[in-house]
Amino acid sequence: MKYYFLIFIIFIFISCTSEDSSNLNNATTNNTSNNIIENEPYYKYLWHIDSHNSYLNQKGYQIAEDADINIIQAWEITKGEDIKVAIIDDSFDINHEDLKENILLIYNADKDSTDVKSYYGTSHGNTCAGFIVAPINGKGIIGTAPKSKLIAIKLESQFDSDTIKAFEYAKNNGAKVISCSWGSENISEALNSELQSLYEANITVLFASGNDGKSLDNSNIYDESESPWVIGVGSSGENNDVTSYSNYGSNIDIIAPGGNTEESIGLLGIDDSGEKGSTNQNNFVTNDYAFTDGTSFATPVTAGIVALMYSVNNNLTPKQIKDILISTADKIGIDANYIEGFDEKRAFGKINALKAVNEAIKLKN
Amino acid sequence: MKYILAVIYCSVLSFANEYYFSFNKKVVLNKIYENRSVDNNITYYLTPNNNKIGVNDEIILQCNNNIDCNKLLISLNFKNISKISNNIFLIKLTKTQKDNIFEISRMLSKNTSIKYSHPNFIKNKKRR
Repeated sequence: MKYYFLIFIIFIFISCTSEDSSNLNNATTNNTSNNIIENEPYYKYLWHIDSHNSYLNQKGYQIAEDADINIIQAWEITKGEDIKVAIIDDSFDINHEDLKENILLIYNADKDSTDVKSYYGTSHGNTCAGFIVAPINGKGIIGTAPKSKLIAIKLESQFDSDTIKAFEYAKNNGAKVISCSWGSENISEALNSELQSLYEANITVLFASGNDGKSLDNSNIYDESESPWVIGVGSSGENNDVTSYSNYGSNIDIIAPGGNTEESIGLLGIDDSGEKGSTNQNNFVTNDYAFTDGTSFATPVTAGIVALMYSVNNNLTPKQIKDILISTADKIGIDANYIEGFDEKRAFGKINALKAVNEAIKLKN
Repeated sequence: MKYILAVIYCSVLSFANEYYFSFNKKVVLNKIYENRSVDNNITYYLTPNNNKIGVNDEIILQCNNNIDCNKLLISLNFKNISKISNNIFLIKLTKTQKDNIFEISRMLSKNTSIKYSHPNFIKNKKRR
């Protein structure tokens, strides 16, 4: 009996050892992890993650082969393990099935409390958060940094002082990335100065460029997304080109998938109405999720990539982060006219997650 | 005649636009005359880009490096001072000072120890 037991123990040991070694190098791991990703219920709708032979094409939507951000292979290197990402937005549903396990901290900058829920029925912050931290948990969608941790900061107050307080909370609680999907087109010196202090503290802040399809190069507009201390993000669509609604200008840095619900299906994210559901389920998903669009969502998609970069090289400066995103971007657009790498409407091009992560690793060595 | 001119001058003054300096650029604001409703303490203006911004009784400012900002503001007779970040301060004006918030902001901006100063603006941050 003792021998049988010993043989059993040796068998278990060998099984575990061989599994561990195969995890290190060979393709089996990649397939396994991909299988897990693909087992997420709504993976097939996430064209910004994987647009190749998209299931949505079978459903009548035209998804370009290269509309995604080349992130699957980047996830084989990192999923943003434990990087703290702050989102400053209107509210959050901290009990959402595809958010709760990655929420680290919650804070209400208006009331200096922990009440971050919505009192108006919608939660823009929820949708933004899902695009970064939605975990691989067999439910719903996947964020671009599914193992990063969320600092959810509610900010409804319109006062400059409260906005600065929100950023201070993120900084004081260890955020490396701060994603902001809002703007005023009229940044104050005080907020710009706060953004500079975050930049100098090695925190990368991202702002959405806006959805009016206009140039921000207007003498009366000085938007948050144009500040030299942030990464300004525009939006690309299912056709792998800039979306018509994406604001642009000489101070916008990069574009990323934000989708286009009018011309195609949009990005699938966490529904901003929570379980009540909005009208954008397209009969594909439950009320906890919805198809949406906007530079609001291109921004967290990019913020997740920044988290991946920090997770492989925590010493990167915001300047290095921006330079890498720009230098590794894909120059998309049939009618584009990139001069010294920059196109008026497409900035420096569309983010490429794998290239960005690899460059971040190179700078470490 | 003198009285008529004085009345005209006062009328012009009462409708004069306010202004402040942002990034060393003069920004003229047009006051919006609204029914008093939500908060009597807030006055709203339109920016040159037609964005609505509100002003209450607070000024936000930053001193230059190596300046003890708290000490400086006390020396300038401000009573209600709070620190909102490492180097950004908020001053709450008294009722009598409040009507001159733009003038006080400009005066502070001219102080060589102060990097910038402007009202603690209320801005419409749009979701995108």
